[in-house]
Amino acid sequence: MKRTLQPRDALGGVSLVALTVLLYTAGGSVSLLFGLTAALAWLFGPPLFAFVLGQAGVAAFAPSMSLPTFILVELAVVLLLFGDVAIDSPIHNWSRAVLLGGIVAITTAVVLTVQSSLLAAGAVCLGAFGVLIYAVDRYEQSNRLNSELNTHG
Amino acid sequence: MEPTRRFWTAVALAVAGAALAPLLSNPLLLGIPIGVGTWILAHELQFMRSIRRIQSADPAVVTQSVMNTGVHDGTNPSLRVQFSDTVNETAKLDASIDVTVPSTLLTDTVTPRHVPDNGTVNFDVSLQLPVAGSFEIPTPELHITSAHGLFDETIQAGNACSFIVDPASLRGGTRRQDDALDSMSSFAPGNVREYAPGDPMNRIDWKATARLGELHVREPDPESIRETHLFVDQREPMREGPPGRTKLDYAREIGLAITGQAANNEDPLQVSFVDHGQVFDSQSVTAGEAAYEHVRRRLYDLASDSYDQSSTTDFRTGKPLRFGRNAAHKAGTLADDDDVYSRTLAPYFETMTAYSAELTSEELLKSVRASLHARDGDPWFVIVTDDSNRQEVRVTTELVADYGIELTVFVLPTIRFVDGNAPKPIDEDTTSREFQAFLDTLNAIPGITAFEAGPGKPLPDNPSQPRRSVAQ
Repeated sequence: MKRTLQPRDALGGVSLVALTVLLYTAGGSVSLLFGLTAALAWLFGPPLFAFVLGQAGVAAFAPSMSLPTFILVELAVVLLLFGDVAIDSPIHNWSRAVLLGGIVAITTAVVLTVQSSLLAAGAVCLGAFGVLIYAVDRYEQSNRLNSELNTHG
Repeated sequence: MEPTRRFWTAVALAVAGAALAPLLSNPLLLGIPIGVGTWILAHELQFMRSIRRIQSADPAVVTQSVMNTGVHDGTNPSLRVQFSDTVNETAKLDASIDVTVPSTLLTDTVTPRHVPDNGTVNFDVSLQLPVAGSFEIPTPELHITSAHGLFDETIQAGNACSFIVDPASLRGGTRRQDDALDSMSSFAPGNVREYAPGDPMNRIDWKATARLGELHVREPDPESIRETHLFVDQREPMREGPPGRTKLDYAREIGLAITGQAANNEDPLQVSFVDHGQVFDSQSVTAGEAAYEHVRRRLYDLASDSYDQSSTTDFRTGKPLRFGRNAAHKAGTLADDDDVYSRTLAPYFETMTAYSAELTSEELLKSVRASLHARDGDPWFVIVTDDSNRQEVRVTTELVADYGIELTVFVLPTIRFVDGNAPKPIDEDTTSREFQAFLDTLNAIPGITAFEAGPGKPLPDNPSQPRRSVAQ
């Protein structure tokens, strides 16, 4: 899909600037590379790649950040990823509950297991999201099948 | 909902983040799988909602209708497809609309049309209808890709279309079919007078000639009422041909034209559908719009693609007829045994097999014979069949001629319906000449008029010579 700059991209732009500046203040010119490559990825691809690069930069330079800087840079990274979801495709009703409930449950599980094993925490995270995404897919399929049966029946 | 390559790329990044976290002992890298997982889930939920809204939109986002239908007069109808995004969902998705018209009705390949950001697209698809009949165009399909290309989905949206195309006439087929139309008026009965030089041979009234001892011809009289007996062969050889253009499809068109003529003249009509395993399946001789409509519906139902070659069914009972195969199977089984029981029964089953083979090749003859016995007055017989069993057609026409009844035979040449994948006849010219010779044989029988029917130009009598019309 061709990407064209829209007014909604202002949120992403602000997030990118904040991310780049904050990373620079924390890690200097090397960390600036993360911000710039994230900006390029954001301009020419989906926000997913910019998020991954930004989060990797945060993980690399977090030890040299103060807590307020860390919170701000994490906020910038999250806004980078979910800015268009919030503006263009707002999640409605029970879908929002599923999404928020799922994220809270999975994040809690990750936080609880991360103390004992990072490997287990990663596995829990991937497994939980896998199950949730698959469950939603199955639900949608059965729902559509019922709808088609009602239409043609 | 099908995951795309973009989806699996995102999953790979999430897995990479989860794997690097323990390797680099950095728990913040777990933010990558959490973020990616949440992002995928959010788009999945959003995509699901968009699909629901599109499917349940009222009015429907897609409508399709067929334009310029009604009469098969050579004008190509078109399918008009209109897409209007009344629920404002397609702007954030990548959507394209694809019509599901059977390929036999398409003049060109149709590619899916992309839905622009404004959510409105209208287009026409040109259709071709090789024969008259009943047609159905299924619901269009909408191919949708979610935002950022994570998921694909194909849904049915809009309405199906069904329409009926009546034959305008027999025109549009071969020249010999046109000849049939031109000479239709001469089939109407009327006053009998002495033959004069120049009178068409097919107007000779053989019954009157035989009775009066001199050649007499019948003057057409549109006010007269005359029974029409139509025989439509629908046995297995009639299923030959490409989908939508089988012999049966052309037989349907001819049958509809004959029915239309009977309806115009308010002539009583009897239609017999000749099929395997059933000797006589016929509507009674009836007139009236309801009766004609009943016949038309039955003709529209002549669907060649629903034929199951594995079993032959009795039209009246709907039950499969397996007598012939059972007899053949038992005869074969008994032939392998050498006991007294087998030796005693084998000849019986062999006889039954032979009887069955004879039966399945003579349904047309039997059907016509039954109508001859049940006829009233001076009817007009019309047979629509092919040339796969020329012997049966010839014997049948001779039988009708013996009764002094006027008969028109429309013969569909098998050479016209050879499947593209099937081996071609070794010598097509010879095959064409044989077919013409067969038609000439039929036309030589008094009271019989035989026409070539089917697609394209008439088969040449001799490729190096000008064509000769059969109908004189």
